[in-house]
Amino acid sequence: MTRERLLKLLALALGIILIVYGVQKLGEPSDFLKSIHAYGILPTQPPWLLNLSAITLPWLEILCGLAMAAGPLRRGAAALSALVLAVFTAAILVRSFQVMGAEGTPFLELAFDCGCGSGTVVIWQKILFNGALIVGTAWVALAARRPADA
Amino acid sequence: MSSSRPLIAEVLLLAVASLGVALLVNTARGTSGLDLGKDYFPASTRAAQQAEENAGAAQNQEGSSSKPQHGFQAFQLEDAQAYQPYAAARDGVVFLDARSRKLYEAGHIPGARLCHHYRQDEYLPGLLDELRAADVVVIYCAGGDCEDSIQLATDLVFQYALPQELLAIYEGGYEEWVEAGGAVVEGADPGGDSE
Repeated sequence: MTRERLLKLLALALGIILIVYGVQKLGEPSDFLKSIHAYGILPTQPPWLLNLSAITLPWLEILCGLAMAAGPLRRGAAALSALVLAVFTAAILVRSFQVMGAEGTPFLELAFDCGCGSGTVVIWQKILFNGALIVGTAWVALAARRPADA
Repeated sequence: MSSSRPLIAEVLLLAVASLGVALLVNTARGTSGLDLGKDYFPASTRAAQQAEENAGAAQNQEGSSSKPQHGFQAFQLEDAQAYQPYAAARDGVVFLDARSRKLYEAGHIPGARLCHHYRQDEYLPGLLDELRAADVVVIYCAGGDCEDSIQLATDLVFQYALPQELLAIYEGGYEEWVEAGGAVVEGADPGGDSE
């Protein structure tokens, strides 16, 4: 299998994962809003900042997923996805430490709803999976050829 | 030309497209979308403001994953059990369920009225007279980390001018009620009729 074909397959797989993540968050906007609020990263004032993030992030994942899978804008979609995934993962880590501090739960036993759209998850597995996604999307962003190079 | 399109242009194009689609879809959702200008976390905002005023004495509620502190009467399981029959009989007590319609219809405390915190504009107009006439209004949500009951109570006091003394938060919420073997009923809000 050529490197180019491997890259396209990886981009397709990552794109599908991102689309699924985005669609899972679309159901009830207030659920994702609560999840973002629970991380305490964004202030509640002004309110539009949190609200706009809650309605935009799922679509960002979906459009990035589509662009990754389809080809045009693949580099941009991969770079943006890597950035968003890195911020999400850092937020999950920070919240993990908060929960560990408050409840005394060991890291390997931590499980909570990270707001990722798939309900309660085992945190170390989630972080490991996100780490793989970050590496994958970053590789696509760096390796995907610009149309002129193809 | 696309061949000279820099990475940053692709990133910006995707970000702007996502924002545009999100705004369109949110508008199309109507009342089930988010009101972009509404503060859905008034209790957290007030806690953060108080922490600022107290120069950090109340230690950063905003950055914590725990519920905001609240000044409402806190109901424990025994209190909820004692007051619930009056709510079911519409006898001076109102239980408000701050969870979503889907969760409410899957099971709620008998007699509780639906008032999903994030769609309160949809429910409160039909409930305010009943709340104002009540002796006690007990608000609950899922329990655990859920803070929707506190956020709804804060709106009832500061937006709808209900007296704070009227309101109580059942902190254990629906999860504790079910775990304790409390009765639950399924289905839509019965309105003013008893269940």
